[in-house]
Amino acid sequence: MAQETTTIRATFPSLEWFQALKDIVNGQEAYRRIGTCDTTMGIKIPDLQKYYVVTFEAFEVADVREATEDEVEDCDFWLEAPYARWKEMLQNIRANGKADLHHTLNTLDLEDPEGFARSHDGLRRDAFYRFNQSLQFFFDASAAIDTVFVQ
Amino acid sequence: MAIDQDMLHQLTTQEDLPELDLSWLRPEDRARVEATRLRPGRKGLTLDTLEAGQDLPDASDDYTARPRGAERHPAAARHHLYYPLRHETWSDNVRLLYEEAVQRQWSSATDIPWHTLRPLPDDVERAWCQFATFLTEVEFIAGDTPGQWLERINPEWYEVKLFLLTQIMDEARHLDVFRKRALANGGGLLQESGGGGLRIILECQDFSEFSAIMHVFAEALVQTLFRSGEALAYNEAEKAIFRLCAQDESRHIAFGVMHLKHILETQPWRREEIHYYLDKIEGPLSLDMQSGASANAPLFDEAIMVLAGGGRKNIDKGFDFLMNLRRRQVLEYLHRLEVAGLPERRYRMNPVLRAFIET
Repeated sequence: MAQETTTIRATFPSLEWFQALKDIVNGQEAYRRIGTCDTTMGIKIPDLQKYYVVTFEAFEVADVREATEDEVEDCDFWLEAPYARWKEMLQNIRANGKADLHHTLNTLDLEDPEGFARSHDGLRRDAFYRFNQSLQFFFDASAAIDTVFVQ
Repeated sequence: MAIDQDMLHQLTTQEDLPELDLSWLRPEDRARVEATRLRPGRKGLTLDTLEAGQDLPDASDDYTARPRGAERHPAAARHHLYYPLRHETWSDNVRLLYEEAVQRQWSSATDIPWHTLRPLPDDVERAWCQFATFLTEVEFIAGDTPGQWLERINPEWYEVKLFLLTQIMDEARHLDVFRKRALANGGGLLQESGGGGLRIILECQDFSEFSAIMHVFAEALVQTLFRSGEALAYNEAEKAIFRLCAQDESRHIAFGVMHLKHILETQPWRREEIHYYLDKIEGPLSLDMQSGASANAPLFDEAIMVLAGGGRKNIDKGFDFLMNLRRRQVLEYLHRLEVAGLPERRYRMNPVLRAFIET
């Protein structure tokens, strides 16, 4: 995926950062070409007590918002990792323009004994696999953000 | 031959044409047509939009090709002996999955970054070729099998037919992408497998048997393999192959899990029958897994070990990967059965399979 020139600076994790990512993705025709994606994805960074919900609808990222832990666990699935792991993934994406072979969502999921993608409902969790290409595109698009990390 | 002037006159005289029967135009229905006119939503005009609020029949004694909602023709010929009950083939997520499948098609020719393939050490390349050979063979079966059921799906529940057609297209693409991978780096196709376990999938006698064996069991194993396959990838091309194939498999599993759930909820007396089907498939594929050098496809397991180990010198590392893969496959299979409403399978599962999660 060709990334656009960096124009945005935002702090991770923050609503501003996810909003910037949403805007970048929604502006890219390549995202639409992957096909429809309908799912709610939670973001959980337990050691910072930070939680977000990202809603994907049809051909766009419809909404991003801060949330409670309960709301995140009510999503189709949520991505959970300590802050350092999130930082490593995003720095890798930034350095390579997209996740390298060792930092894709799927690889991170396989390497974590409890899974990076989690859900209370196995069927809803399958959305992580069914829409994996769209979700990877979403995070790969963060290469276009000049991310400032809180730690 | 001379033209008969009377005939010519008849053919060119409008009043001699047979009277048209335009009763089917039903001008009196105009108001209803206006009231039900549909508008596309954000995803376009989807099946869910189209069928919203429409009654879905639970049974049909119609064996013609009559589309749902159309009037019967008194002289319509029968086509096939379709399943007469909706429950026997239905899945509540079938419309959504069909639309998703249509939207998320990809091309093995242009969506895989083939240019990232690089020469690999001989043992690794040959392992990849053996791995791809077996998967090509698997995908033949995966495409043939749903095709067997198309003529049994009643047009009354056409959505199931459409979904199976997308599955066949998916499997065709998987077949071609693994064949391309085997050939693209110069290695080529290697050894065919015995294929005994795969034949069971082709020999199913009932749609729910087919779905339980293929969607819930076999494709679940394959999906976990494809997801884990990212760890077997040596370049972006191979990684993309696995990621895209895993997405497709996930739709097939989602159909199968929801079909099984539907069966267990609407025809609860079929619970033991479902166990019988799972007994049938778990046995041969348990043997397949038993030693890491399986009876049915030893070359396949060995290829995985070489790839995961980074070469035959690290076969122990590869063996550990294979055992972890098997454990994950069994756990995910069991979890899906729990979701479908068959939690007791954990205790009735083939003991060789169970061993993977107890050690």
